Amino acid sequence: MSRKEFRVPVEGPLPLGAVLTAAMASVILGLSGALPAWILCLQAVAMLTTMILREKAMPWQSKALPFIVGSFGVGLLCLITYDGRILITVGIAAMLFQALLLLNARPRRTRFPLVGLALTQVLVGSILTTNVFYAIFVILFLLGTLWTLLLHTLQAEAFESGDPESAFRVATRGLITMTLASTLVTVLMAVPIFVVLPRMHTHLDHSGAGSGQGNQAGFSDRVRLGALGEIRSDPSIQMRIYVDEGPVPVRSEAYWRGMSFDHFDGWEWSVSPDGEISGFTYMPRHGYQLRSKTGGQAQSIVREPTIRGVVFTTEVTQLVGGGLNSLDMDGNESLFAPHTERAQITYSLRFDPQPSSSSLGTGATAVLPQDPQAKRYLQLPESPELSATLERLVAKITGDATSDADKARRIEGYLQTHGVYSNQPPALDEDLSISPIQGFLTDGLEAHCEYFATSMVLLARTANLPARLVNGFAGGRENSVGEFIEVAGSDAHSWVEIHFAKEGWVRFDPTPADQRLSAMPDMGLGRRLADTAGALKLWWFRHVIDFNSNTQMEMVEAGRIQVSDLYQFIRKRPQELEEGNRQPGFVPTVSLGLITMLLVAILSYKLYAKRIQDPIFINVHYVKALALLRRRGIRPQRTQTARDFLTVVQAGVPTQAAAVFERLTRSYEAERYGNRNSLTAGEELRELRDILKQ
Amino acid sequence: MGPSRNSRSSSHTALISQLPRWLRPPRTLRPTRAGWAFFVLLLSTGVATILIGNNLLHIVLALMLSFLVLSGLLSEAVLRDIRVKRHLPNEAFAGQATAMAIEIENPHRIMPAYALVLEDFAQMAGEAESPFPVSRIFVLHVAAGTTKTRTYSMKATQRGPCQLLGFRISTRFPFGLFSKALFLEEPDELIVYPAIHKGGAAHHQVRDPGDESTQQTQKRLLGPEASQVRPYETGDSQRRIHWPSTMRRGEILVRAGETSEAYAAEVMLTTRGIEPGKAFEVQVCRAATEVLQLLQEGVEVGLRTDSTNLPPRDTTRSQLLRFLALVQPESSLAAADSLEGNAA
Repeated sequence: MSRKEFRVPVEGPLPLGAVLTAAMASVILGLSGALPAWILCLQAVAMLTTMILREKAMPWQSKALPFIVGSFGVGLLCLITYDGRILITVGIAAMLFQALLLLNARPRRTRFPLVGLALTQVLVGSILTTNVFYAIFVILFLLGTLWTLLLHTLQAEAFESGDPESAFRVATRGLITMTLASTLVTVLMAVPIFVVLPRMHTHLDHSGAGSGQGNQAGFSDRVRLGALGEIRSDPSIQMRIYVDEGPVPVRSEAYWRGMSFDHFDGWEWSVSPDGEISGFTYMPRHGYQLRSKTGGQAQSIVREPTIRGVVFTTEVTQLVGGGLNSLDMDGNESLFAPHTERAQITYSLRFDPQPSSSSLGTGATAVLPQDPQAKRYLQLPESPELSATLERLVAKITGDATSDADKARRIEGYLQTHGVYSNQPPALDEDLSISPIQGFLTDGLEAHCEYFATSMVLLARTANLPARLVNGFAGGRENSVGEFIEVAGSDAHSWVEIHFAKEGWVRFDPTPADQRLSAMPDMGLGRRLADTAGALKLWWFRHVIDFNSNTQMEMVEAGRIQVSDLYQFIRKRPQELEEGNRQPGFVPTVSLGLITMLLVAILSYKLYAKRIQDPIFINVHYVKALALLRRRGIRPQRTQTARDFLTVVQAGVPTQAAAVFERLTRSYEAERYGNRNSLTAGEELRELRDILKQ
Repeated sequence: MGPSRNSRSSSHTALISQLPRWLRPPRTLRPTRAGWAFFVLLLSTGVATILIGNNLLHIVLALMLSFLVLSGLLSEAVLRDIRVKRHLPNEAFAGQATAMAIEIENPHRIMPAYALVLEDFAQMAGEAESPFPVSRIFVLHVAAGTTKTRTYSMKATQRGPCQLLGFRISTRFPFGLFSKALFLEEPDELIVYPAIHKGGAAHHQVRDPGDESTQQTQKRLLGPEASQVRPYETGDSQRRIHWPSTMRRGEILVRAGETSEAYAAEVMLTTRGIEPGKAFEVQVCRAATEVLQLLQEGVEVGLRTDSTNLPPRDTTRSQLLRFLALVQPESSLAAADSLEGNAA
């Protein structure tokens, strides 16, 4: 009889593992957020019905007609709901057919169709989601699948062999333990396979991933006054930053530059249309070289979807590396990664510190940058009243300034000391001809950072200092669990850059500092849990979602260095260690130690086990003794106990041999009925053999 | 002085004869229908994963690959080291169902064995066809360190030696994707005795061993002689049990020598001048039936053919039946050689 398929259908309730498999598959597909709510509700109802009717099926569940009709209905539904996204439609079809299979209570030869439909949903969900909980659900899916297939195989074998009663006794504790252990082993084996599977892509598109764009009007190419303030009300995380090299920036000195604007019409900032857009060429293993230097500090940034695909940089960025398919820069040195507006991306920066007002030399001279359109950095709105206000203020603030640097510092200092930070800026009334900046400058300097920065740009330009507005993020909060910086929408900030001859673009921040930086929250349990969740999400994104061929090569390279260091360490040539006199790598050292300990443990166990003589050895010695006696014509009868047979042996062998065999019999009985091991059974057997040979 | 050419060539021959055994894979693995479907899914997932580059698809692919590996590991763990021991029946007659017992031992400490199907392969002597399974036994579960016993019924169609070659053990455990099998060599030989006619063989020739001329069964009175005892064998008459020795020794002993009231007879079987075939087989069956009938009556039975004489006093039941199982007409030299050997 061929064993290529199961021939006898298995009767009985659907295993709980099958329900778990189906449920997890649907959850994984639901994580994508792409399914209509009514589909998910339908699936939930089907599962609930399955659970309720699992043990006692209704008559219609055993008929074929309802399911044939249902299949046509599913097909029709898929056609109706098809909206051009084939993946979603395939997922919906798999989900609904799975629901039909769950409700179908007819005996089945195989559960593989159910598993196959569930797997299809998992595959579709894998493409559409990057949720961190995916891992948990896929492991539960695996557990359910293993149990379902295991159980069905055993039941089908029992039915096929004509012993259907035994089919319902297979679900023992041992089988459950085996399933759990198998799940664990499968997951552990999958990890190295995941790492070594070939990747064809160096950069991955995570469109649709991330927490959504939120309100990011402040990074558009036209920003009206107050737009950045709206971003500040968004508490969601916009960026996560690892400091790879260099010191962790102090909150008051941590700035990440987004968009820079050069043209102000009195109400909104924009980028001059004449500004050039230049692209950068990707250099393998380096990234995009922005400037000639390498950069002494480094950060890795995971950025959520951002309008226009803005790439946030810090200080004076020399190099942008990591997973960006392309990088563009406008005339104000704002960076964009095209087509990443809806994607979560990761990239790295190498940078040098940017000069700020505190580090600027006192005699520094402001000059226009080397740019054909550089005069745009002196542009002022066409408003006579505003111009008059600005001139009056400039004369007042910088009247006796000795240099351009002094002027800039005085303007900054004036706004910082005379201004009051407020999240409620002056009302923006476009019907009037008066710019809101006019009101801000004349009515007490009370507003948020955008107004302070805009005012300083205008005052600086009035003082003939080339200046531009920068929108970005500043401050951030350290995630103590993951040891990275989280930058939220509430960290959005505006500041100023003024161009000097020697230092280039220098950062000025005229916003009153004590109002800009919000107090650090207490590290309560809630905060700690939130930090842990944030760290987990980031780890998931960096090490799983964004794992690509570059990462593989980095791992290989890192491993090679570690092994080389360890080899040198073992060879006792510390002077030949790679630069920095590194100690041998932690990972290979620990691995070597663990492997050694494991080998020692296994060897010790084997020696111990041999010494205590596993019960099976006792049986072997007694059996061998019986073989010896059989050769002398003394055979145990089937109805005889060991004691009965001992009596027979005592009558048929010399006294000495009988005594040895008695001891052997007692050892056998002690092992069999008393679960006690004997250390002497082997010796007794040898003694018996010697005596019988004589 | 090196090894002789003869010994070298014989060792080469032995090596060459072992070669097919080494080349034959120790396991056979056949995907089931579900297994083929799994392969298709795996392949599709692999292609999609490589093309799309989505890491969650890589996770699914990695899990599917390790699932496949796990299936192989578990099925191997189940089959590996399984020991099977066959218990042959004391007697097997052609045309009669005979119970065979099989012990399946799982020596693993932790791993139980699931869903084993055992097929006992046999080949009848002189048969040209390939070995065939005589049984199919299913064992759902053998716990770690335990032994399960199963019995099956075998009906041999003809007398003679039946070579039992070994067991093919297969399983579709754990997931029903593959059917893995291995062949466990457990050679044994079962001598199938001739078929017994229920109606008896009243017309078969029987002679009194003391009287050369008579053609009739005769009861012969023999003088009393000292009894020797021997262990009881299947078929011995209960009247021959020597109870004092039995009580003393603790095992059933029967009188090996003659008693004051003993009967002896010889069954005749013509082996010369007859061709192998149905007629000869019928004769053999009748002789066997007569032998058993006489033994049941407490008669000491002997057997005489044209070339062999098995005297009644010294021949046991099993020897008689074995001889009848193996006897061939004397038309061939090989048959005569075989008889000499088997009579011993």
